[in-house]
Amino acid sequence: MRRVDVHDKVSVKDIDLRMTLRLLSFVGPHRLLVVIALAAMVLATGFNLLQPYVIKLVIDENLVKGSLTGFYGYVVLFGVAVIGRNVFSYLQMVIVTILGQRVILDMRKRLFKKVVELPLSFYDRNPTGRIITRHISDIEAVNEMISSGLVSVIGDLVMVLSIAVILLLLDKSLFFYTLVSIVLLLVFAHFMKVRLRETNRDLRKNTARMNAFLHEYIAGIGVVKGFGREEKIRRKFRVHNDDFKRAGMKLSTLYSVYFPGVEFISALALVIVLFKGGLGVIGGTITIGTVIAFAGYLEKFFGPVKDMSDKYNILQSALASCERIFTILDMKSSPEYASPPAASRFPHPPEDKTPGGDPLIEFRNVEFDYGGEEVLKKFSLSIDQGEKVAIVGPTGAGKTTIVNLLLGFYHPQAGEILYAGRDIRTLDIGGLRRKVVLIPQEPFLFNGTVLDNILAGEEFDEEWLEVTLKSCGIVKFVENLPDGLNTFVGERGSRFSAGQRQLVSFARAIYHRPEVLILDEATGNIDPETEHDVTSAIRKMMEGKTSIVIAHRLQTVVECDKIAVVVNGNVAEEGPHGALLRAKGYYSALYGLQITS
Amino acid sequence: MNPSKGRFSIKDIHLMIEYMKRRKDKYVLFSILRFLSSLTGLFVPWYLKSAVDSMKIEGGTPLFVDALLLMLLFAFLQGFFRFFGRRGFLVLARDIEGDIRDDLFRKVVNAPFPFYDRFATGDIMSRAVNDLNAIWLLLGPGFLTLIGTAFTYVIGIFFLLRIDPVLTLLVLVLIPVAALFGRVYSRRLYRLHRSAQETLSLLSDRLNNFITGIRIIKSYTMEDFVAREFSHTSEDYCGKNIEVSKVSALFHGTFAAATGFGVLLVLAVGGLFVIQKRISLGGFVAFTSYIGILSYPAIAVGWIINLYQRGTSAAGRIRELMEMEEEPGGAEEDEEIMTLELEGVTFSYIEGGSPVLDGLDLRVEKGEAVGITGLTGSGKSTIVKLLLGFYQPRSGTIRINGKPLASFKKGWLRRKVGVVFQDPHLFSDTILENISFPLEEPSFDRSVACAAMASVDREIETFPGQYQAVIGERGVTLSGGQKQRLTLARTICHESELIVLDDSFSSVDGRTEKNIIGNLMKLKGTRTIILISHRLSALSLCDRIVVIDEGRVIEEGTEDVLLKRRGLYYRFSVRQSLEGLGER
Repeated sequence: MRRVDVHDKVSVKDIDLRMTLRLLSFVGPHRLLVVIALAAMVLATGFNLLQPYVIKLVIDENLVKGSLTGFYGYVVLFGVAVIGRNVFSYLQMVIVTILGQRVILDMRKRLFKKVVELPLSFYDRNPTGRIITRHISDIEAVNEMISSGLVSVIGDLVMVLSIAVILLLLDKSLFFYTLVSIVLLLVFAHFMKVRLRETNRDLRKNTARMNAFLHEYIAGIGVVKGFGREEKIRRKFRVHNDDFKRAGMKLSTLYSVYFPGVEFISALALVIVLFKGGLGVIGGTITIGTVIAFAGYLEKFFGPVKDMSDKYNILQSALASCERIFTILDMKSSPEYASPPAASRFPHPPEDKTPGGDPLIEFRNVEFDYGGEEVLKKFSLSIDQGEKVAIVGPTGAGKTTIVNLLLGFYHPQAGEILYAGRDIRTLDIGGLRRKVVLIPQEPFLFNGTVLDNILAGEEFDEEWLEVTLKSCGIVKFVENLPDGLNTFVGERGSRFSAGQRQLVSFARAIYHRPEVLILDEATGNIDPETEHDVTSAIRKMMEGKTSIVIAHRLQTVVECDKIAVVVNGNVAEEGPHGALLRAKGYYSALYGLQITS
Repeated sequence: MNPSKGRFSIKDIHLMIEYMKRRKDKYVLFSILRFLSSLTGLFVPWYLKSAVDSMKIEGGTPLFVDALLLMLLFAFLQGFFRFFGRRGFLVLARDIEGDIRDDLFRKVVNAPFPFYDRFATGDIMSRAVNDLNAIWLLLGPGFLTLIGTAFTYVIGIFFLLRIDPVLTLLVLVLIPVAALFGRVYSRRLYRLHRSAQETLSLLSDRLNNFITGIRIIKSYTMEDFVAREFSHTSEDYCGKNIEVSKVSALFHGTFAAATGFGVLLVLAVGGLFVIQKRISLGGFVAFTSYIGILSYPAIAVGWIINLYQRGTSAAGRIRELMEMEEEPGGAEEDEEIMTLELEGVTFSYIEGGSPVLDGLDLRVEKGEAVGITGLTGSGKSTIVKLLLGFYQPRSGTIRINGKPLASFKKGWLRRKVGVVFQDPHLFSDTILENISFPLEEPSFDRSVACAAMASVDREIETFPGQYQAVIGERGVTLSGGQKQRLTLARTICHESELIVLDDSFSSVDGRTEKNIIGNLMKLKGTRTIILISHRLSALSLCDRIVVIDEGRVIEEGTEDVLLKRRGLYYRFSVRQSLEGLGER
């Protein structure tokens, strides 16, 4: 089976130029912005580098000579350089941000669209927290990559290279002397870079662990308190908190070495320039202005180099994030999203209801496993248009899997599933799912109002809503809610009891006008009285339509046209209630057990 | 969603100061180190001045070399002090962050239940992680830079004045101008930041909502609908970020420009002074160098203001949790539960809201098995929450052995009462850890015995790793029925005197359920059992059944008595009996 999990860890070696090129393909549509940003950057750098040179001219031509000739001209030139530099820097910053934001907006939308289209097996393997991280933190890291990576790295490169050229032009021998300190700086920066990266990663890992721990135990606080185990949890948490603290302290220590270290090396470079240059001035081979300008350029040179380690680390982690995002984007969507067949091609259910006619739904020798043990083995079952079919069997027999396959959430490894005579893999699954509606075992409610949950993206139709509520027999239930249909249900419907959630889930299903209704053990938490009201209302509603009921408790299935007993991934017995009782098999044994209680 | 819109309060700073006070000595020590670092650092340009000036003096080479060596010495000393000062402050801030987080978690774990209704999981997490990070940034890098800036400015002005007082005053005029700009921008920036932050929260909420509900989204073909909603919020967030960056670029640009104009002033006025021989060339060079040193802190002022605003607002959000009262508890303990009484208990989740329980009376004796049933939403689960003291009744009393519940020591009750909750929540840990969660240390033998009682032992043995198998993500995926039986095994492991089962077998098939209830009923006599259920097959095994409707007891007695009364219980039994359905 295809692996569909996305690990948090990506090895550094996997990251290469390809990743950057692929990221550039996202930047492509905004290339105009890139061009403007680069132009602004070049101009800003130019104005920035003009400044020490003007100072050199002032020192050599005015200050040393004590003359005012051209002095005010230079002052104005310097002023222009200051304004020019700041205006273009501002422009560059704003445009780069807009660029970054537009790119990540595209990327975020594409990622989400992709994630929604991925098969459910993806969700089985990836916890919610991780998928959210992909959309938030990883995408933000890509933004870093663009805003402080792309343009700024090019900018730094332009800056460092032009300074090197200027220094060479100013004084060749002085330049070679300063190379000593530059090499020293590069070695030091590289030495620290590795340690900083590891510690940064350690800190992130510890943050993720702490987050996961908090999420799990706050969500399960009822269990913690219910067993009075607050202290045990506090002790466990302290371990995570301490690990996090230690990583943070280590990082602080490293940065405390790094910044003063770089500053000392740059002071050393200054002293070398002054020493060598000063001797030249005394010997008359070089002007004071040149020495001062040299020192000024050197300082500007050290700026980008000082940030190099940080930027490198940002780029590294951004590339790792890119890789994680691209891994998801490269995953195969469920086949139904690939090229949806035209809705018009959706087959109409056969009108012919007489026995011997084509069944509406048919499982033919279906085999399936979730990647481990086989769940369905040569499973065959046919359901006619308008038939009420029950599927019963012990826990773990594969009942819910049948539903998962019918709705195309998973696809069988062998055999086929037909709807109105057509293999569902050739159908528009969206169209199929609009006709075959599921009421799941664990009713999920979205964080919103009861109304939002019933509509579930459909248009609001007041009349039909009223019919729905009435026919589900839940008008009174809704009236008793504090804000009626506008009552908020809380995170995952947590403000409602399991039974109340199931009632809303029923209304949602009916509102969507199902052709085929599947009830997957959908009334487990509802009391018998309400259950009777709801199910008999739905039975009336589904008159002439098809329904599939999955149940443990036999009283809900007795009235079905057909009962299929599923044992070990196979239909062991099949037929109406009476016939099964007479067969004296699994069903009659189970029935006997339940009747005696 | 976000109850923290409260205004800034001086108490927010007090929260941080409390923790800083405990480390007063260290703060003094590191401040001295930071002071020395500023002082030695400012000597570097001072000797730069001597170096430049001595270049022009005939035979000044020895002076020149001395000046350079002194520059190097002071640069080294600065780095030396800086390392210890910097590391000291940053590590201290991490320490404080850790302490606050620890205290915060203690508060969160010990908070009364309504707390968790008010604050969503994501919200509490965000406070414990993101807000504490903002506090670390303020107390660590923020505080460090603030102190460094203050020292550098105060000492720096002395050096500048020594070179030339007029030039110094001219340059210093730029500071209040920049500060004024900073104030205006930082307010706007703060508002924009906050608004962007809120949109981000919304985006995460949406994602969380959609990803957890993916099955429903697919079943109901809501893909396009959710994609639209998500795009909408994403675009909103994108726009807000661009707004933030426009203002923040302007903000940083202004400070950078202020530095540039500072150098321009020095060039124009200082240059003139050099030509007029009022100051030396070395003085001029040193002055530009000082502007460079002082400009970094000037840029940092904006950053510190930003950190301060984020840090204090984070402290406010943390304080909100810290000031929560802990769960109440009395002094009584170590008694066997002989009787449990609820008398006239009324309760609603929202103050003044429609009552969930409305004058409920119930009495349970030691060793009894009592069944509770009723319509969906009639308040059955609420009884459990009140029993455990998760919530307090609005009126009426709950008594154990005749003493009010509140007089017992907190935690005592929960050791005596074991509940199997309606929603099975397991932790992503091993099966063994999960079953023995109620114990201080996991016990293998006991876990196996409890799993057997809950009829889940045979399935556990088929898992790879058996009791060491991890639940969730990378481990075994459990069916709804397996989860319910594991939570039951966990409760049995608790060895409580009173076991409460809250509709705990909805996903378990009839045969297994009967087995389990049979096992549990063997405990009757030594342990008291309360069984909340809709299934009459299970309820019929109880000594006594209580039927609840609209928050009140409407029927009570043995099964025979209830069936004869022909009330709600009787109607339930008609609905559920196979014969009844078969005849129709």
